[in-house]
Amino acid sequence: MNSLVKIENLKKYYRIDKGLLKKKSYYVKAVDGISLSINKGETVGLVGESGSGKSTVARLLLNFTTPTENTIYFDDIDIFKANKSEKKSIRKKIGIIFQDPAASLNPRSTVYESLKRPLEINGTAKKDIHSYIMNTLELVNLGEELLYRYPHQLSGGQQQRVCIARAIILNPEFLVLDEPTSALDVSVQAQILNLLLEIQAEKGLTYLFISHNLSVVRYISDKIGVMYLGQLMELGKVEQIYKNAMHPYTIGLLTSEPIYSPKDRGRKKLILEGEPPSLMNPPVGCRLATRCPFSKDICNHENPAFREIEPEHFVACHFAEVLDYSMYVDRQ
Amino acid sequence: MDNNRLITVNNLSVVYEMQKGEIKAVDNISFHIEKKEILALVGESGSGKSTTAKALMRLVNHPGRISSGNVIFGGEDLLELKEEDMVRIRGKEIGMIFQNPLDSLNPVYKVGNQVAEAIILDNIPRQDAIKKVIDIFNDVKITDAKERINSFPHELSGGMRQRVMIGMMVSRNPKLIIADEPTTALDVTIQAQILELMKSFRDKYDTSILIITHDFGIVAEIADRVGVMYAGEIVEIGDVFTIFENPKHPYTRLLMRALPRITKNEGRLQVIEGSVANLANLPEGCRFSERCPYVMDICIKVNPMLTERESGHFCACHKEDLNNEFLG
Repeated sequence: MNSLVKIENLKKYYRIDKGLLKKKSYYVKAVDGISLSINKGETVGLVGESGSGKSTVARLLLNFTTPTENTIYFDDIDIFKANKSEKKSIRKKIGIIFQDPAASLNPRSTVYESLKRPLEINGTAKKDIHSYIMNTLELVNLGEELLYRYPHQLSGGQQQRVCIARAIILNPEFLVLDEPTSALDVSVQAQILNLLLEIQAEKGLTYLFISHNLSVVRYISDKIGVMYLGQLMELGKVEQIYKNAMHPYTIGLLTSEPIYSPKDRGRKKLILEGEPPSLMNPPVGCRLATRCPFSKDICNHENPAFREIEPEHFVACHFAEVLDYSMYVDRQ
Repeated sequence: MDNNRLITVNNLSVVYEMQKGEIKAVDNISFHIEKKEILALVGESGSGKSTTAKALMRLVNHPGRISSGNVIFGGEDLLELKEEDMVRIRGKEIGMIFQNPLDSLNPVYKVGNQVAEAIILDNIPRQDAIKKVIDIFNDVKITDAKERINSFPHELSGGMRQRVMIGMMVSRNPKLIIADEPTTALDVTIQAQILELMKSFRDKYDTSILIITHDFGIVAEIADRVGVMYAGEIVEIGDVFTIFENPKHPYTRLLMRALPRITKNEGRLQVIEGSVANLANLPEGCRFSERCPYVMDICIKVNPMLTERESGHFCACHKEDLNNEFLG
């Protein structure tokens, strides 16, 4: 298959100067060696808790910030070394949708104006603008009557539909979705998730879907990457992650998710004790060693390699093959 | 009256007085909580669940106002008490935990002192109070309790701060704890720890808990009974096992199915059309009628009453038997 996005051992450190004269420097290792490729037409979900680096990956992809080491290829072009015209053409091919739709829309622009902007910037002929906008509006199931409303006159779900419309109006190939449903009510979340699937089927889009919510990621993704402290712990197809997770952190996340029915109350949880350590001073060995109930000596001084354990299923754990999770998960 | 009841809420209404008129955030709701019971009120934004929690503590601020009802606790109507008597109830009899612990903790005092302050209110000398704080911190599983009492709130993680808040609330051994979205700001692994902790306190101290949440998963995890709220009303209330097994109200039924729990290869999520009813412009009949696939003529004209369908299971819907025809 053709990979649209290719990331290899990507690193992003943020420098923080401390002390009276700012003489001491520390590095926050937000993204610390991530390898990932996204094929055309598929959805990759990145899941992780706060501070795991998932949003930094999105920022790097969009060229909002530059990496400390290594790079990202989009359509085989190094996005950080691209020249101006290449950059502009890449921008046009990547759309972005953020968590808070109210914050991403200009409060003083009507829906029509918000959608017109990207078309104007990219030189769409004036006579075509209206039909482009109407077509896109229909695609996201928004009625014509909303065209001249301001964001505050729309519900949260409608606002997010406008953001989706704006992101797809230039016919991009790739959408970065950073927690697009986290600010929405459950009933509206379902509408938006289904809409994203419809649009993808219709336009053949490729998605990177970032969320802290495992159930949402499971629903929308083909492949899932589980992040912790700037690194990928596990990466695999959705079934591999949910039916055959091999990393203790993935099992911890899965069993920490609230249950679906009170009948499941007795279910055994793999409780990850304590809290994630600081990104300024992450453990030298495995990132999870301080919280992992299975951690052994080697975990404290050697960071496990990100290994392909079965086809397309990568795990960063010294003991991935031997750990037994049968008490935590039901693997029919 | 059932003497196992800790608190009984009758016909409670809260209105917000806006320029354009009154908005009924909570409209004539009744429920009770038994001793040692965990009741969850679950709903989407604007359902009135948080306003209900605040009203029980009489913490509704201007332009909001409790417009009717009574809250019977320990033989008294809390809504009739003088403000100074209410101060005696808050913290001592009923504790409250909010979503964001940073809003509840004072940023310029050490957390240990803030918890000790609560304990000193019960006429315990300062030295003993500090000792008690260390015990409580151990109880709520704050590591290095002895050092942590000297931390400021900003030096603690979100999970630790919420532990401090829980510690502060249980320190005076209240009969009821009201927890308003206590884990919404936390990561799932930390959320699991906090829910575990809250359950253990109920078992240990027989505290009743009212938990306010938007998350059915938390309800499934922790509640004994659950009330589902929509647009200011309780539309269904009953035993948690019964309601998860056999929800009677279309809203409950559809909402549970709107929760993602499958992959896209296995099917599509249930969708509830439209968005949550606008409190400023409510339909005349049932508030869910505009979004309800089961809607009948009567639903548009008459708002259904909460009626008992089976022992302890109440539902407000004109349709007696729900079939599955509209479920995806």
